[in-house]
Amino acid sequence: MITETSLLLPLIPFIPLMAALFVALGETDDAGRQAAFVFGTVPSLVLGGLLLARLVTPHGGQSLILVAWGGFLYADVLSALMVCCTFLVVAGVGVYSFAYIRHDVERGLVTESGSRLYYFLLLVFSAFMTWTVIVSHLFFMFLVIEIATIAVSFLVAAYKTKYALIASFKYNLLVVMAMLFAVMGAVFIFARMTTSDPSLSRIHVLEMGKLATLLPVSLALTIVACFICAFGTKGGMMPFHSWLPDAHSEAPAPISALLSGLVILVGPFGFARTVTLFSPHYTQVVVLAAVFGCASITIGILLAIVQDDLKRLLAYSTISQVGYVFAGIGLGTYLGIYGGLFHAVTHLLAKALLFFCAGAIIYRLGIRRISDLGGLSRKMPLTAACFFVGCLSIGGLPFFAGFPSKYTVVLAFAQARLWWAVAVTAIAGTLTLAGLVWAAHRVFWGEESPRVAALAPAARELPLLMMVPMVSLAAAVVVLGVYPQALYPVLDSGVRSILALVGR
Amino acid sequence: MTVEGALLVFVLSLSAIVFAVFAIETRALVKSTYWYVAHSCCLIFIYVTYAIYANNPYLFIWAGLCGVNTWILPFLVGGLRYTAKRIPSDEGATRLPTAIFVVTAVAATVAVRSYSHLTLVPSGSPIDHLDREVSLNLLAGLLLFAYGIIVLLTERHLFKLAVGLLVMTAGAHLTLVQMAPGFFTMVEIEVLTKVMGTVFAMLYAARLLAERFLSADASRLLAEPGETPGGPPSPIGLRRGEGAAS
Repeated sequence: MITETSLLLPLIPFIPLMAALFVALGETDDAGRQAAFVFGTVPSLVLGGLLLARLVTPHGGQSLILVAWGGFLYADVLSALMVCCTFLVVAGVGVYSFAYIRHDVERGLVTESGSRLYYFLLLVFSAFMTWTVIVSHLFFMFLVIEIATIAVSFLVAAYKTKYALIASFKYNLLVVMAMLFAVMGAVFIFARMTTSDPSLSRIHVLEMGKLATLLPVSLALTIVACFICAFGTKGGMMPFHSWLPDAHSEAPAPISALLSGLVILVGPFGFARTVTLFSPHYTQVVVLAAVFGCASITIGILLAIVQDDLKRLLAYSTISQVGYVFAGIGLGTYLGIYGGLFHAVTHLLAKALLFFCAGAIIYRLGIRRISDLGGLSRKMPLTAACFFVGCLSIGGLPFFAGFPSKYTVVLAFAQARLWWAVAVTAIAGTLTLAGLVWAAHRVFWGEESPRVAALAPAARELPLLMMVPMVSLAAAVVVLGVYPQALYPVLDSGVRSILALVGR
Repeated sequence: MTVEGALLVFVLSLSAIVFAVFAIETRALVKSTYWYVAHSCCLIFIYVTYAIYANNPYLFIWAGLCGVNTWILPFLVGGLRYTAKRIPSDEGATRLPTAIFVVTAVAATVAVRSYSHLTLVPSGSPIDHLDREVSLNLLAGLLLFAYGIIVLLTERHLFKLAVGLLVMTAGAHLTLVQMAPGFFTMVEIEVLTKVMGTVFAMLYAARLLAERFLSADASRLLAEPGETPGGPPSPIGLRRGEGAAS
């Protein structure tokens, strides 16, 4: 493993923080806030891309780790990939929000100061999300996760309705409660480590792999249980998912896309940094991850298909899809981690796309109940096509991004001889495809509902600025489905960087 | 750690648990705040005791930060006392969390005694030989953590949920001190941030709900459909899934 110093690491979260300060303190109008948002996210996205390119470039067969501030900040390929995903999604959500939030301000749902707070929190979230994936100190990582959680909880409560406030409260409560379990897991490791090395003052995230081998089985499994509970809650895995449907359905649509695409990724990231490092040494961990993952896949989709609320349907589908990610990463094998990371990326794209489409319907019609919708494809053909692309990808149909990623996870199950998991994912996959296509049919292709007919003049395509992120995501979903090798260099390096931590 | 030091910590840990129970069980929320302050004072004394007996000056800083939590933050604008005065009291309180906790505590103690030996001062590190001896103080820390979880799972009043989260946090950090008294790292910052950030955010949501919907009881809020007149127009209509046209 080669280590090099890079000043990019502290710079990337610094830019959105400065933009956030400008939004909060500057006497700016809407255009000023939007410009600050663009200047706060796009340069960081470019720098994240540079970081990723530098890490993926071969270094004589050894993996490269970039560090800064005396090792307090670090970045391997996984961290850099997360940084890129963060700014890609936040930039997309921001651009989509320009018109969406303006529309909400005009309708009186959000005040002018609420709009300012919205962009401020988005930028703060992106900065702390970046810190989450590049900070090496385990306890500090928990701290920045909590700060990012607070920012997201305010975004969830943007409309300040009863259900939004309760959803925000619940999200805050459950995630912080979960992080306390992570703290307990770290406490157990730390207490054990200080026995053998009293000078130890912190747990370095990248040293977790070495520490995992030094623990007695009962203690290791207790620690793994704590981490599964913690990162399972953050990632919305069954049975720790209860915050997710409420938060997704009560938040503004762009924030639902942020939650489903990005915020839950902290769960799999934490999983990869902790639980996965135990998998090669304790077979129980593999089975535990597969059981929780498959339970999430199955129960999530069963709950999704009975929903009449479009956003709740997508939220429960997220619970199902995140099961693939957790199960894959939890297997601890090359194929499993590759599939898990790949599915995290493809799900991020497809689910953000679906929530943007749901937002388009709410933006134009104010309806999100599926039984009140129907026949929208004639009025919003591009939105309908984008929604269909997203559904097919989540459903795992060939030539869409979700297919190769899901298939890799299933192959990883087969390689690990977890045949029951293969069967469960096959059945759940069929249900997912059927459920989502049925929902898409009812919303866009069914008979035009009376409510849609009554609102006919309002039912038309979105403004161009909102269409750009939607169409871009749809294109990305198709491109990755047709040419999944595009992500191979990044994912391969990412998996190797994780496996290097456990000496493989 | 000497026997007298361990005994002092044990008495303080028990007091912290008892005060936490009072903070949760008291219906009047301002009184509940004061019980929470008493609970936190016990934690300060525990950290100071460990700082002296384990010869770890960093724990003085930790005790100081706990003091900030105890004496300043609950009394700041937006803090526990401020919120307690502005939201309805917990009239529907049941004794369920404490009843479950008592059963859990007794069961845990019996279970530990059946396969191990409960001791005040363990011979080595508190987690080295858990099959042979378990420190009473470690058990107390874990029970405080467990009480926080029970409160969060059973309590419905938003203020009590915030207090429950603080109790759970206290349990996690008490366990940490019991397990590794030589520990010094940035946990103290986490302690402070949690109180300043998360709990303040939760209390803010609780105040808004109480102001607009006249209740801070989650089950009551969820049982009544729709928005109370006077609240802002809902972006999603009066019921979940139903929206108003733009």
